[in-house]
Amino acid sequence: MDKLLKQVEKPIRYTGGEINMCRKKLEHIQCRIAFCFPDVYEIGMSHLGLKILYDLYNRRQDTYCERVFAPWVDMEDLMRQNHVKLFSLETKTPISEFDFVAFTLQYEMSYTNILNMLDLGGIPVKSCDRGEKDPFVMAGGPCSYNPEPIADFIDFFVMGEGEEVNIEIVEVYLQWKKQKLPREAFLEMVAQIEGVYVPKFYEYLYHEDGTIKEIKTLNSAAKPVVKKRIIKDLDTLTYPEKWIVPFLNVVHDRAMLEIFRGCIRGCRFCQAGYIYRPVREKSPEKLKKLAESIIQNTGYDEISLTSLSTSDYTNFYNLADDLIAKFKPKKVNLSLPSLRIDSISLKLLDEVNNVRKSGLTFAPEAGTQRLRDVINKGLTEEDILSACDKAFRKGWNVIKLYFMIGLPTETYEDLQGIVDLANKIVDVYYQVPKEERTRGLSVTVSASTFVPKPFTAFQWCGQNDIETIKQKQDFLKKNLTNRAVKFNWHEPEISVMEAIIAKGDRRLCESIYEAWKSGCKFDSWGEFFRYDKWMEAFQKTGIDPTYYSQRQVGLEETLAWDNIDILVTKEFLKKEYQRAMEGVVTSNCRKQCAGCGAAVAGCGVCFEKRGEA
Amino acid sequence: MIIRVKYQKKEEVKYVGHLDAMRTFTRCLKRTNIPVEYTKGFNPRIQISFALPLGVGVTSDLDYFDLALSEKMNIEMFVAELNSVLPVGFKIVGAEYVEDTKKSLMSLVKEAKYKLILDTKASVPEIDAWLKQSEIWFTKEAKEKHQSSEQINLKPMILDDKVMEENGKIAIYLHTTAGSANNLNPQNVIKALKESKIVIEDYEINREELILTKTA
Ligand code: SF4
Ligand code: SF4
Repeated sequence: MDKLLKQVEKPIRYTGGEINMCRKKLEHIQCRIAFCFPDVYEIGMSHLGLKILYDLYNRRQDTYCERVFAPWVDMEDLMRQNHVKLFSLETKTPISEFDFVAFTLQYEMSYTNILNMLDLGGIPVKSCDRGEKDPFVMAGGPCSYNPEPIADFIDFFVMGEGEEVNIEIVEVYLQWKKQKLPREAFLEMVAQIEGVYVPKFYEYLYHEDGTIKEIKTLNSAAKPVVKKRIIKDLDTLTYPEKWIVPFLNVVHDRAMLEIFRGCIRGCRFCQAGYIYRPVREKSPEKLKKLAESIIQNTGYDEISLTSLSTSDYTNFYNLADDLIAKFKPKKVNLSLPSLRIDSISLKLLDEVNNVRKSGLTFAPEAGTQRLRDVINKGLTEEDILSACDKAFRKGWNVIKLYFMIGLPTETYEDLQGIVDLANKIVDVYYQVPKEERTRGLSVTVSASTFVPKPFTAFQWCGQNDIETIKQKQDFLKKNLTNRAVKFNWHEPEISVMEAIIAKGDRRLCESIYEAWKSGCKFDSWGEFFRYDKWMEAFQKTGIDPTYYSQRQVGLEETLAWDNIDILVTKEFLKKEYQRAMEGVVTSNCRKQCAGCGAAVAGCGVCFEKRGEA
Repeated sequence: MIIRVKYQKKEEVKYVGHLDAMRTFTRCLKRTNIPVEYTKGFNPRIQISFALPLGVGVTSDLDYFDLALSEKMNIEMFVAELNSVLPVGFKIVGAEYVEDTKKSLMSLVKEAKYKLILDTKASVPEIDAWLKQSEIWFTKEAKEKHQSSEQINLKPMILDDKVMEENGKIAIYLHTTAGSANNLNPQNVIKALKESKIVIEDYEINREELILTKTA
């Protein structure tokens, strides 16, 4: 092993041993979990969910959770040449020797890495080929809400927040183990836990035109509809003890403090906005204690407040002031991503960014008010321009704007709106007296491609074809001519693949298998993504990919993910889709409940008293 | 007040690079109650300086860093407290208060001693003869594309050497010049051996000692 490590780039990706890595004596362990992140170490170790679950599992004396990442290609080659199986960082045990191999699904383009990791670990890639001795392969995370495209490879999926359900699964496992029952029996036992989906217990029947006729339940243990799990009261969650601090400089190398889950906004394209409903906050008291314990346990000098939309935390500015006061003497900085930019947040940013002013970010997503109403993005031009004016006067000079192209109902007028908005920001800058502004304005316009996602109001919408997207990108390239404005875009092929897989059904499993067989891996890394290989794989497996990405789906159709319940109802999403087409906005949860269905959870924002904004 | 700390970097953490190791020490210090001194200015940092970077993959029996403290702390307590939070593989083995000469610790580094263990078919006399050459050349690869590679003679940096067989492998003991000028990177000795067609299956390198100029 050491010989291999000497030949690879960044060997500490594979050695473990970091601050707070959990060490246990194996003889006391009843249940071993290999927590697999299907990407490289630096990306996986930036992920908050991994740290939370690692800590959670390892609090149990009978359970040992270890980490596994996708080896980089140099390491993979050496491992295959030398017959070294994929192993855990903690004890260097091959993943085939674990009780569970658990994958977290953060993005669709990591699916081929899952297949590759199983194969590299000596575990049969397809569930149906696994035997009594093989580990159970499970998966959770945001992408598991549409488990179907990888249903053939995963023994069971976990829907929703993992803190409670994963422990219930361990307990069921221990019972099963004690009773020495066959593999199938465990799947039946686990299928009865709320939030667990065992794909082999379901069968999909299709109409002649390829649409879904029926989703049949094949085993009485399986629930016809699997409901996502949520933690009602986030204050009941434990304080982190074993939060690993990587040696390597990872992507988010700082303490992360999650202040709430969910988002009140309901942007109609946004899957996160729907699947994490309802909004639940941690109390300021809990947060202050949590922050202290994270800093104490990790030694980080920066703590970042994380959520989908930080300024929506109730009394956010009180919390921020308290945290700043608390950490200043300890020389710990506060960082505040996803903050809405306005005069109060600028004042705060001014305070925390006391050295160099980093760029300010706005995500209007669409160029005109009409289209912003369609997508329910409650951010107006007026908001942006007045915030920019104040920011320029305070010395900021770098502005980043995020847009999506190819949104439903988009026309070239909306694209022209992107150009106009960028130009107006430049005008605002030059209207600020020279003495008050910092020299050298930079406005970056980034345009990603709209990807229709399950469990959004746009789940029925088709995506633009590659040609159309390219034309739209060209229009922006041609018209964003101001010297202060930079334009960023991505090749649309990855977004097209994302749409195909995100909205895929079980028939795609064969295509993903074929793509992996033909060498696809690390698809989210531009340098490895091979669109041609994917298209070949679809062709070989008789799949028309545009059926998934471009087709406008009928509102009455059965969707591949209709047997998953995210608490937000399909009826509500339909209503949101229709309102989108009419350009009618829906108010945020705090202003007025829109009746999405998530109130059945019995907690969070749904039960707040509504007053002002 | 400056405390000079002696530490070891063992097998478990040998692939932790120099910058990553420095960051690990500062983070670990933050997890203790050791009264560290911060730099002034907007971005206060712990005042810590290291003696000599250690190559990735090299272990060390004895290395140093200097740390500024705002108040004097009992040395045993200091060592125990820091050791209680360090990752396995890093270990503090001693410390002493030194006079603050304002000289960087790096500039005090004079010489170093290394032990190289080679897994090779070559014999002790062969390696010995190789080391006894009057010049030992090694090609330093260019870092940037537009630069060209450079030929470096390692011989003047080797003050003393000894070769012997240990447990079926060949051990080379090297006493070398070290520091910001004339630093011998022991990994370059391995590269030079390989360049001269000696087949090395595997190797280990340990820094046994770092010798500082006395500051009196
Ligand atoms: S503000 Fe909109 S886009 Fe952002 S997380 Fe909330 S719903 Fe999604
Ligand atoms: S039920 Fe109402 S308040 Fe609760 S998440 Fe849905 S829309 Fe928001």
